Amino acid sequence: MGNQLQARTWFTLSVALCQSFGCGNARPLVSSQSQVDQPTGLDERPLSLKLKIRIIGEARYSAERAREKVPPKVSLKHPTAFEKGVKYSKEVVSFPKVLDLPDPASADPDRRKELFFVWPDASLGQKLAHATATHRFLNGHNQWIKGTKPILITYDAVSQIWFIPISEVFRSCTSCESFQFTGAETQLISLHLKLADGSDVSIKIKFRVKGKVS
Amino acid sequence: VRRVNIHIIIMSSLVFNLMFLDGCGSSRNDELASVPVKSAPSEKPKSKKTKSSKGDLGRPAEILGLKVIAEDLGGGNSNLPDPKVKFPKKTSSESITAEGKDVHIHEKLFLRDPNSPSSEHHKNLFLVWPDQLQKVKITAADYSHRVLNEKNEWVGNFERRQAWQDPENHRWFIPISELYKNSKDYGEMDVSLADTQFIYLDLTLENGQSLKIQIQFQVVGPFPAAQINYVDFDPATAAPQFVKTVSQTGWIVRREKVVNPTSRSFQLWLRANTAPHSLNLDTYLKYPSYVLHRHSPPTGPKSNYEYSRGEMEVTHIDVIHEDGAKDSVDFKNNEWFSIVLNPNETLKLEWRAQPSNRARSCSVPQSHGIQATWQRKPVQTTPVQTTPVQTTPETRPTRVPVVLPLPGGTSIVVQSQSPFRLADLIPIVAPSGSNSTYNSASNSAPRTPKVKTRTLQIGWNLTSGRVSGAWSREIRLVHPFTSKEDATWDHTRESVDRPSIQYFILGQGSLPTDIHSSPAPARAKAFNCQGIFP
Repeated sequence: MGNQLQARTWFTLSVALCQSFGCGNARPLVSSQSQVDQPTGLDERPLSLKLKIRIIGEARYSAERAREKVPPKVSLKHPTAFEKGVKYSKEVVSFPKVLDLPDPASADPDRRKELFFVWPDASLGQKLAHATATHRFLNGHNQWIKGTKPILITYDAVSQIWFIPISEVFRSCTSCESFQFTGAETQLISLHLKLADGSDVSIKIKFRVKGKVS
Repeated sequence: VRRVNIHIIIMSSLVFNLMFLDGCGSSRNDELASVPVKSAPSEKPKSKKTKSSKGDLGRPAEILGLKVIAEDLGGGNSNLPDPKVKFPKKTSSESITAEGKDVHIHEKLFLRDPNSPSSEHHKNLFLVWPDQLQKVKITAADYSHRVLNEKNEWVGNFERRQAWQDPENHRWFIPISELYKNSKDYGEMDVSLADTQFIYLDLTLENGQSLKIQIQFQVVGPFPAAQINYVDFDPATAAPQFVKTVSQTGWIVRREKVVNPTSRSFQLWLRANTAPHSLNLDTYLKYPSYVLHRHSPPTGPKSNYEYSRGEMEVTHIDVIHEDGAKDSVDFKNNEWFSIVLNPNETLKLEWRAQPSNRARSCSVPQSHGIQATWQRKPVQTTPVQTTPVQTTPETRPTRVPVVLPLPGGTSIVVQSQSPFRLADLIPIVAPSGSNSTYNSASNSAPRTPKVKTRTLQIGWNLTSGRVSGAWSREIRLVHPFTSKEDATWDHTRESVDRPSIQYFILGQGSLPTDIHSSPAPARAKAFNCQGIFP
């Protein structure tokens, strides 16, 4: 009885200390709230974190590639520069870094890169049956501007990832055409996922961009 | 077991103190961690924990009840947030969300801007929260501030300051404008909405607990004071060159400078409007005329003037940057276009009037020569004249006004004057049946040895060019995040969807223009081609 109580006490203390000083197995993309993996079977991490949404950049995404549904090469091991300071809360993943929209005319190869929102198929414990998304943004004058078309989401069966090229996000928004984003706007993608068991999950991706929609 | 329990209590107390004093699970970055934590009150009440301290105080942002409140302009103290605004029970709302220790203000904020056309931006804003957290009084509130700019660099100092207390209304607050006071690197004119503002709030409760909250928001500074300066345009050159240049590439009708004194970028929306026939190129042509006489040499030349008018429009602008780089923009009449005004940049704008599409192309008649012929009146020395000169009804020396020339070999329409024929005017004794022409004098030479000829050069010259009239232009300064629709909205138009004014007018109104090469002649007739002379 006494040993059991002592063991439980030390366990509680170690968790508290870890929470205090940030020890534990820190994951590269995990926010402060989630840096400690739960020792119990109950995974209380934010849903957005569990989904493991990433932003990766790759060579210019062409229409041909989109038609052929060629996925970007994903390395889930290391965070990319685009993910600096990412925060996961209950149902929102926020990327604070202002992202550059791909500029096909730029001399800088990095600026020509397409950006992708990527997440693994089975990251929520079961496969996804279906995924849809809508986009809107809050402009500098606190007006919400809504996308009018659905966003194209692609699933690659070989690498088992779902992905959205960032260009597709703004292609859904007719009012975004020729709009010069400045980083002042708050972009919001509402992702609606249907899991294999029929349940629904909604996650929001919040980010900021600058540049012109090409 | 009793020993274990005592051990638990001691360790728990230690852990809680470490957590709350040293910032447990702090979401601050490393730079923040290096800042010394404000010293705790000297007499810290021990173990005066309330029920709430164990639960919700672990997620203080959610119960802080933070609100953005504008100052009270209705007769109250404008240095204080409006006391009539009530606090929400929880921080989260549509415009503010809170989770754990993080508060995120989604609404884009505007620093007080008395020059803003939008009255919404005339007030100071405050971050305000009640002076109690879960019924535990806040005894001290300190904060520090830092900015992540759009290049993802940290800017601004990290000075620790005290928040303001309003005991009368039971609340604490931070005037947002205060964040940018006394800062050399990042004043309120430098505050861009593309930057992310972070406030690290450190609250000390009555029970000695210290809570850390991070507040994140976006705010934009006021419009800079109007910075547009008129610069004189180029004077006209000599008439032929001036008319040619105006007709081919146009002429600068206004040159002005726009200065951006801030370290953030803006957008300029511009348009020029030239009403039909309100701005013209007047071209004056000069040509000589002579008076021919039957019996004496022609007299003259006398200068004559005609004018041609071509319609102009301001449809081109050259934007010259400080480094000399030039952007040329062709735009349609009264159509909006935009250019970026970069941080701390001075732009030179050169508005250029060009010939309208409706302006007809004319050409200067070619120079040519004609021969004037006259015959001296024979002196009658003898009463018998063997070969008398053929007389005409008019024997006196008639002055025949003739306007020359006949524009020939050109594409222009022949003027209304009837063609001049020397033979009609100079009655020369000629063989019967012979035709009098310009060369009739030579034909008649054998019979009229006193006939004389002279070649008269008839040349047309451009003597004066003048671009005159009026046009208008409008320059609006807007935040770079303002849409074209809002930036170019016509607020004189009544509309249900009329947005609030989001622009600052830098320049507007009619601009009289008068650029001329040399004074125009007092009298001039209309040239047969009205247009421009490329």
